[in-house]
Amino acid sequence: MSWTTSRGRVLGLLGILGFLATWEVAARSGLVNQTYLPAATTTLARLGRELGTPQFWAALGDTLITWSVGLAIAFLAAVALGAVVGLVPFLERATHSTVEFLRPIPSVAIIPLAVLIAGLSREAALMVVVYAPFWQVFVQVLHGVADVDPVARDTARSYRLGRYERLRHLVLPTALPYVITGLRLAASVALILTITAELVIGNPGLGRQIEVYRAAPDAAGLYALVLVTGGLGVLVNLATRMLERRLLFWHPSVRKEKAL
Amino acid sequence: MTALARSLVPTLRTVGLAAGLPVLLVLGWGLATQGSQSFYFPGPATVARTFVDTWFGPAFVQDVLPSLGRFGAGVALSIVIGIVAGTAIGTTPWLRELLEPMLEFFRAVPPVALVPVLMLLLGIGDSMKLAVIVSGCVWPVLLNTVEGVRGVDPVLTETSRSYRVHGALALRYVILPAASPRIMAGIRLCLSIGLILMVISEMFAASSGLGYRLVYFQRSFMIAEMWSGIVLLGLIGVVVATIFGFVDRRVLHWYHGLREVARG
Amino acid sequence: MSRRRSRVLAASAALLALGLAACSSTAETPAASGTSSTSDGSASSMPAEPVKVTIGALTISETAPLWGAVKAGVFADHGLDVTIQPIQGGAQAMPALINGEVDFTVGQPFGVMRARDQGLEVSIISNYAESLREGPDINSVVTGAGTGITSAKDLSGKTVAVNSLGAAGDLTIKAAVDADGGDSSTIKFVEVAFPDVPAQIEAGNIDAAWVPEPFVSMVVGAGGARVVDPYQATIPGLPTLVVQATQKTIDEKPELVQAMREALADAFTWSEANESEMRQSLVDNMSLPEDAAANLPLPHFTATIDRTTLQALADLAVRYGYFKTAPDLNTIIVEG
Repeated sequence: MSWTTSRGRVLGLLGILGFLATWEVAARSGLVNQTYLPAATTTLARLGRELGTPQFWAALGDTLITWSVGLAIAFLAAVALGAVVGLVPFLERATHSTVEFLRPIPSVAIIPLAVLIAGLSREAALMVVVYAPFWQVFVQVLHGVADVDPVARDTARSYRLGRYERLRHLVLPTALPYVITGLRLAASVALILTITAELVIGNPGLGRQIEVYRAAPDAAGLYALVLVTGGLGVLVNLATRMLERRLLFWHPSVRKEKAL
Repeated sequence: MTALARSLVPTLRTVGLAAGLPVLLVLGWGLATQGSQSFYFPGPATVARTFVDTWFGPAFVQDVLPSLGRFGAGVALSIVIGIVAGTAIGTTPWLRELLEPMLEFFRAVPPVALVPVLMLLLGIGDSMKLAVIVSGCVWPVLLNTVEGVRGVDPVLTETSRSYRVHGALALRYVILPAASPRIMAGIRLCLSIGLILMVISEMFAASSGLGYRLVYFQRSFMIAEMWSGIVLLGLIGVVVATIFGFVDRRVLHWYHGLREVARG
Repeated sequence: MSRRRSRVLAASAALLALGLAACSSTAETPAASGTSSTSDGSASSMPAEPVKVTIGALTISETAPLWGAVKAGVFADHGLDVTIQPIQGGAQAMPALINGEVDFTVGQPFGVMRARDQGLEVSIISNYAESLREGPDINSVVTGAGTGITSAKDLSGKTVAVNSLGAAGDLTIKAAVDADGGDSSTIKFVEVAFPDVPAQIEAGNIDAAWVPEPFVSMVVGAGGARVVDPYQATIPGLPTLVVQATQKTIDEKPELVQAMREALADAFTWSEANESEMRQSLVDNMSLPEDAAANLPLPHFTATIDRTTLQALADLAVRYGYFKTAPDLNTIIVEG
């Protein structure tokens, strides 16, 4: 992670300040009407007040629970099913058309059904949250398993490595970078879907609060919470990156960064 | 006769593999809905009939084609931006450090929450809808390009450097080809996210399009029509994936070829 | 604190019940709530123990009397232990009503007609809010400064926004424009959510838009103008919200439905007498700023159903081809 170096921190901070300055100038100069898009400082001040209310923390907690449960279900199911399907060529070919059909169906389209089956609850939101990240990880697992170097595979075979050893020393190292990238993408997509589901279904969480402020209308409150959703995503990504570094310390993309 | 049979068997197997599971699933669906009159789960025959009635006709020109146009333009824009920006960011450490926090931030903001700002800046026309699509599906291409470019084998870059292969030349013949498997994986994700965002973008300030129709059917409790829309989206997904598979084989033929050779 | 802990426990339990099993476990929720409400409903001797009732309500300002009266105990006096379930839109309300998660919903009458048109057995049991018969109505078609649109007929050929197409908004606008001598078939309708309207009007992306309060005041305050109040112009006093229940609830729990009708009537009497208390729920439940909540124009709240206005809406919908066959009000409206 570039923020571990002091130069990375300084540059990153510069980037953030540059963005905030652009926003502030755009609002103050009247490029956009401040009634609809309040200036950066106004929004940040509002964010500060928001952080002092218990409702905010309750909403944040609800969002985090929905997100983590949804992501865990999607990830574990996708890795398990993806590994099985990816390792058995027949299964991969037999499920290919079905997977390609189901994968792109937008989970927002199933919201009424989710509500019918699970009510206006966290469970309904979970059905929406699990769907898209599941396919993202699933496809990455398939790619990863298929990417095993044939030479290495043949070498392993000629050394008569057992099934478990081949999985442990051949498939896992090849697939891991793909799976971790999948997890990283899935973690942020799951967060986006969690908030979208709260917005549309109305189960408790940051998304519902965003909708409440939007309808009030309270633009400063709305964008304060949008900042929170973005910040949350950054934290999620930091966490998954840390995981990536732990698990992939031997991979060129991680090694190179250390040498930097 | 035997020659014909011999050439027929692989074709039949391919068709069987592609159609087997879908046929089983549709049969299961038919059996599950047999006799029940659940309002929200119509049987396959009802959905098939509705599918023909709903989408074969003026709706195809009015709703499906404009949606596909926006999807294509949005995805194309995302791929171009993703690869160009991703290569720049992946090969320039300071640029990556400068932009990373902001990129991470914007990637994490739900596109639905960005719609009011995008409407403010871009109005309610197609450019807003394109921006919604791009705001969501540029990330897999960008991230995968950055990762792919960074993950290029150091030996490869060192070697090319010692042969004095620099700049655009190195980019064209060393870095991008080496990163292309990752980039293509990113584009694959971009396509499916693009379809989702096409639907989401048409939920705002629209009066036509597939996404608009889906929401309209939901609100009007036209459940069979809604399911037919979902089926249509799935079918579009299959077509898009097929086209992608074809392009993928062309672009990565050396990569797949390498594997084939090693396997043989 | 303990609530938070139990949530964490629930989350980890859900983590254990992984995979597709999670989907089947979710299916228990509606069933469980369904059984609990039937056991409550069988206790027909009302005052003995309060009956648990869930009302689904849109998070819009017009639901304020409901929140206020529940808090003040008006429903408890009728033996009803009411929980209000906030709902984002009509598309979410109907499934929740049908699967029994909510017993009643407060929603637009047009939604009931549309649901009936598709064979869903949902009926109106009570009125809730009506648009105003005179004076500035609570919703209006507004336009920005300098568009030159002053009357309904000027909307011909213009881009007009409504929150959802194919509903009472665009229907009454078409009727108002045609009645004023314009041509409604030339209007280009687009969907823009109410909160986004003021910005889009100001940017000139739309010529006019149909919005409720407080957005009418926002646009007018920014230099815009009211063009026409389509409800008042076509069907004065048209209900904006009615209370709905499934035919099943109406048939199986007539006492509950009757208690709800009476409680609603009392709730509106209460809110008329305690207006500031009622308006406080705008601040508490809908996050409106204090001063906006104090001055927000509200519709006329009543539990009495006016069949003539609903019949006029149904006829209009048929005339403009929104429905193939006229909705039958005798089945749609179930009065006590």
